[in-house]
Amino acid sequence: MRILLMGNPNVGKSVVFNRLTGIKVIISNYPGTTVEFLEGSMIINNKKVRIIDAPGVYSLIPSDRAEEVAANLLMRDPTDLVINVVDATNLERNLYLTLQLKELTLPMILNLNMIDVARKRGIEIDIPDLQQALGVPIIPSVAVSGEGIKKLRELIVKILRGDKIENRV
Amino acid sequence: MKIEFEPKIERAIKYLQEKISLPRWQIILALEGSKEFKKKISQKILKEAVQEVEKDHGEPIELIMLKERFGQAGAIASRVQKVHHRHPTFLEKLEDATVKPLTGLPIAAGILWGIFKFFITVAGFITDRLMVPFFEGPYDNFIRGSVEKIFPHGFIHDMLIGAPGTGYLESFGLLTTGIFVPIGIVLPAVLVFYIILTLLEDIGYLPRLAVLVDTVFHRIGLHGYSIVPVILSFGCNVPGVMATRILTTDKQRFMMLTLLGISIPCMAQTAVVLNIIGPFGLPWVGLIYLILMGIFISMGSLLNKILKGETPEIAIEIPPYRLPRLSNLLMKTRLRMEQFLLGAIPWVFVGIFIVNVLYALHVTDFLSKILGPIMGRWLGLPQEAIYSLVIGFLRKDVATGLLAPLLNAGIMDLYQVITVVAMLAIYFPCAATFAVFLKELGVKDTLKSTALMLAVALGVGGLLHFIFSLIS
Repeated sequence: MRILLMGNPNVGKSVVFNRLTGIKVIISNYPGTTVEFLEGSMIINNKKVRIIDAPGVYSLIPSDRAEEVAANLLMRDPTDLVINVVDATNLERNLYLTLQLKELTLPMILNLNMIDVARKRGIEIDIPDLQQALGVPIIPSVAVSGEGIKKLRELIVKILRGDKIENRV
Repeated sequence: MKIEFEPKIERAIKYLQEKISLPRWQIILALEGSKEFKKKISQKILKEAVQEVEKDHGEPIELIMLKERFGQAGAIASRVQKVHHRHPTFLEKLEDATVKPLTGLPIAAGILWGIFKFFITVAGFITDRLMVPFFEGPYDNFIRGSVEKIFPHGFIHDMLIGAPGTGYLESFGLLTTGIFVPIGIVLPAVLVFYIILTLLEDIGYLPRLAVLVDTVFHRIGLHGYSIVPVILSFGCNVPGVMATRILTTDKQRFMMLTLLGISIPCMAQTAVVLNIIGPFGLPWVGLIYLILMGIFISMGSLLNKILKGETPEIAIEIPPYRLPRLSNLLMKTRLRMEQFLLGAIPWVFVGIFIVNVLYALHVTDFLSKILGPIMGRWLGLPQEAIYSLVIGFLRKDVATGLLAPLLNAGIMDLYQVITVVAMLAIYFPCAATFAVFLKELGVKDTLKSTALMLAVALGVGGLLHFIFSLIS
């Protein structure tokens, strides 16, 4: 089993990776901190699941080496679940990649991260509506403080177990 | 909800689906410009499929797809998102102030000056007030006592703790210099540097610095973002080289790697340089950095002119300022220190081991016969400096450390030491960085880059000797 963390640069993929696996990784506040993928694992239903932190990409059409690494991770090997980490403060730009990822018809979770910053900036996101528009389950989170990670983990377990996911938060 | 493209694009997709057996997502990616999937469709069929759409929009299909997608993303975003107006916070005002040249440049100068002062003071304090007393006191008593009990004198004695009567920087014993250089001198500098770097990274200052230096970097064919690999390289060239992956063309990456290799000394070298040359006054250390900066700029513009290839614009995102988190600061610093200790100490040991073997075998006599004319006439260096230049292929801190006894004994003067220090920074990356060069550039380009470094080192070394001989 293989989970891939995908998303735009600097949205917090490495923080989510660190929260899910406990593996220490270099996390910074600028795009392009992760240029090589990192692999870790989680134990789910007594099985070891590989989880991969991909470098950030704006599009599945790569324009540099780091994006190439990410696109190859997605296209070359079979993936059981994509966790699309999305920056809630830059919804429109992030959704571009989400729509591209959705075409791949792989099981997917949208992790709407930095929801606290979005709220502080006066950005209000109607999560049930977004979920309906995309047809993808959404977990809001504040990865740096750990908020929402438990729910994310539960949803990962459900999806990998093959449960049918209800279309609501 | 199924997300569809406009009818004519959907028709093109259907057309392709009928002609070739590819899943919808691969066809869409091909239309969006993916080279990998484009290869799977014959040019003729692809052209037939997109003819009508392209004519209709008057644009190539990649651009049409891009606009369609952004249209879809925008429609969803504006449907689910409400943005309330509110006044800019202090951090947001600061964000503007630090990127506008008028306020940003003085702020940047102030920040860099503050960092420099803080770095020199704190790293110097740890080394001089904590490490030196520890190594010369309790550590020395223990190690010297234990070693001399078992090996009173001879090759192994010298290999472990150096010849009798020499200080910790000069002895070149595995347990004296081999531990003192990485732990006593380099570690404090690396620690302080990484704490500062982490703060800058986590706050989000680096991309803003990139905006400020963009104009200067563009003159030498590089993007302002190249400041990020440069700053990382001041710590260690290995992560610096990795960070160049965000540059888009081979030309930019070759240039950037070569410039990093040539003119950015890592913290290991800086720390030892500060220890050896610092006592003569910080302006001397500054002179070395000025020389290297001059080389960075002149080599950059030269490479930009002679290398073929493009240097396209890249858009970078400027993240908001965030308050750094202590937990992340601790995790990152620990991680980087671990990487430093595991990556550096073995190489320092190998370096010092080789130095001892070279001394024992009297290799200088042999090397000075071959390199004599270059060393003496062209560079104006005594033959003893050969050791340093040989070890520099492996580790810069050990190589620079080898200059200390030569300077103390009066075999080399300050000008000569500065010449060698500059050459050490230029002529070759250390072994670890060389390995990353091979991985990132391939054998051919790495050799090209290395040849360039050697040539520049010899040129600059000769030039410095010439200038110094005029003024001394």
